[in-house]
Amino acid sequence: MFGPVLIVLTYMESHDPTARIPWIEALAREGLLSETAQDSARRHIRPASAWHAWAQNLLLMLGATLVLAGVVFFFAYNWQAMGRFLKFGVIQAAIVACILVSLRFRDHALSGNIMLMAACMLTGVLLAVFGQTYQTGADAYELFFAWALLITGWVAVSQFAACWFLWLILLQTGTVLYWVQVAEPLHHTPFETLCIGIASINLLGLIAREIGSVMGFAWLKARWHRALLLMTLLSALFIPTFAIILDIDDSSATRLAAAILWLIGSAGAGFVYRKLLPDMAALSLVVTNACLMLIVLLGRIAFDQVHNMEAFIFLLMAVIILGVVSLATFYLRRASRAMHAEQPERAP
Amino acid sequence: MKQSKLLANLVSEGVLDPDVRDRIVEQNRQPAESDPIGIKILAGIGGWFAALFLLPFIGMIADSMNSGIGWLVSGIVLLVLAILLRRKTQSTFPGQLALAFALAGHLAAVGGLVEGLSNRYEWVSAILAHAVVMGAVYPFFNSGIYRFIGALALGIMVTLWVIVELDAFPLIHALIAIETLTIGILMQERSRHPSLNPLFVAAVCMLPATLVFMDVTQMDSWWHSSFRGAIWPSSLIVAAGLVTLFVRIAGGWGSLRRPWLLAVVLAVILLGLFTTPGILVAIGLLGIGFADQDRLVSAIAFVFLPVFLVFYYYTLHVDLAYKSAVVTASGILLLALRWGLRQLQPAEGAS
Repeated sequence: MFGPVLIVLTYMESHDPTARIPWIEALAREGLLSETAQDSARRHIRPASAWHAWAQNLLLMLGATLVLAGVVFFFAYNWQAMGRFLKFGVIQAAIVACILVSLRFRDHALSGNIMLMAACMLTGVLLAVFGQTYQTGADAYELFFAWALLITGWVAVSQFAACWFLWLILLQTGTVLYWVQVAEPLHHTPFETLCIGIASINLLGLIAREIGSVMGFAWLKARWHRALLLMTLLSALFIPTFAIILDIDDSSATRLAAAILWLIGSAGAGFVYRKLLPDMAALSLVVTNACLMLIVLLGRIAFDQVHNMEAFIFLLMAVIILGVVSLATFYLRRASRAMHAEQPERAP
Repeated sequence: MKQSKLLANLVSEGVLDPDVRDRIVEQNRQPAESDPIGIKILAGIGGWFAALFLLPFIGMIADSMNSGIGWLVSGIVLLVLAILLRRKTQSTFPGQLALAFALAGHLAAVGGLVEGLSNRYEWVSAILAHAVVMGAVYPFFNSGIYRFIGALALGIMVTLWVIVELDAFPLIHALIAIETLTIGILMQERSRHPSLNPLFVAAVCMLPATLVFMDVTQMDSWWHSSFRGAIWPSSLIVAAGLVTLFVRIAGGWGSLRRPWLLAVVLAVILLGLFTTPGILVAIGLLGIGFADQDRLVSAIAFVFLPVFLVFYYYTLHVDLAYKSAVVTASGILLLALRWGLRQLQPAEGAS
């Protein structure tokens, strides 16, 4: 639960030249806005039409979720009593219905996209039922790869980030399962190769996202996509690098390669999100990741070098953490100020 | 809407003086004083971990003195140091050090107080000690992270006390009422003082978290069966809070004449009747987040909403056939409400 909150939190504050309620409240606290002006500003920022749209979206989201869940429960209850023909017929009919509704509501982006997402999910259900009914003996990774392959066309035309994320998750789940079921037991493929594979998928996704965003695809502009992909990419490479620090004697070539890739990835991401596509939140993620690694490294050295001084070693660790984090926050503050100054739209 | 356009509108409406507008524009050219949230999170985590490593060090010093008293004295010394350090400088390293001192000092002082108080009532002693130390430090130590962690810890401790120690289910409703009231009172402040923000966020975190505790304890296999009770009092409290919130946002009780607001109130009542209070809370927090453009509150709501939806399915103690009917009917009702709401589209720009 901490991960999603962290991602949303990292995007809480950004350089935003639009008028926002917290800005209004800050001005009021400083005595620059009277109560009447404050009320008026709130009405401008959040007019009735905005509330109306908000309530409609909420009702759509909750209503659709409940109806879909109800349908799933209905089939779960009657599953045993249903024949093969009926089972496949119902699921395929539901997929077709979702696609038709999605086409019908093409102008209403949210409704259409939600139906397309439902069709993508139902495709997985269809494959699972197929495997269960005919006992194909296929490995689980095949299900996920086939699922990803079958929905690729819809995902490609969807212009809906959630569909793309579902596709990426399926691809990565398939990759992990392939390693668990085939690569490791049959070919002794090291865990680090899996980490590099997962990182590569996320790197490609991140590059595609950035190119699409620069090319002006509005549906790719939401910055949480960037955070999620960047966080997964760095985390995948973090694990083998962390393992090297903890156990330097067991550093295979793949592990070393993963560590070097982590170093290149962190430095590259730091450069890109500081200079080319300035983004304070992404930069904070990169720096936090690097801080963690540095603390582990220094901690390892400290615990190796100092013996029989338990109290001192704990104090030293506290100082190391404070020192590293202070350096990082010092750098981030400077970067934040510089980004603020570079942003031409900041002044109203 | 851009800041410049909003300010121009306020000036043209005659509610803002042009000179004040110019001052605001000039002020906006200066860099923001507060840190971006990424830095705050990094600083918080750094301070917390440093405090964890400081504690064993303090422990060894305290052990060389008379244990309980030693902890208390070390804690107070660290807290005083933290407050002085924070007041003296706002630089990065001293700021981090102050936070680590404050967290470690807080834990040491609470430990010392608990040691000195009666051992028969460990929970109450710990809660009281924590409340006393937090109450004494909160106004003087100007750190949102410390204040947030302190307020959140108090909420968690009280909730655990009710569930684990007292084993009294009805008290959960009292807790939920207190948390709802705290959020409501803090929202009443037109422009809340920044020092109260950590308390507000802690209450916003604790309300859904308490409801998750409540839902978990109602599950057969997850908690002992004696801790059971009706959840409708919480639904009632939360629904009342939510209706008050929406009416306040709409401009007061007089606004209830508006058809769309009536539709929203009806939706709240239906959700209260058919779902768990957690879903209402998540929706309420989404509303608060949207109204105040508070992304933190919205993020918390978005994280808890799916959790409560899953709890809702799980806690319907009926067979799957009936469950599917209830869930589908609830969904259809909400979609019908949405359809009704679409017919009541307000004019563009209406307030």
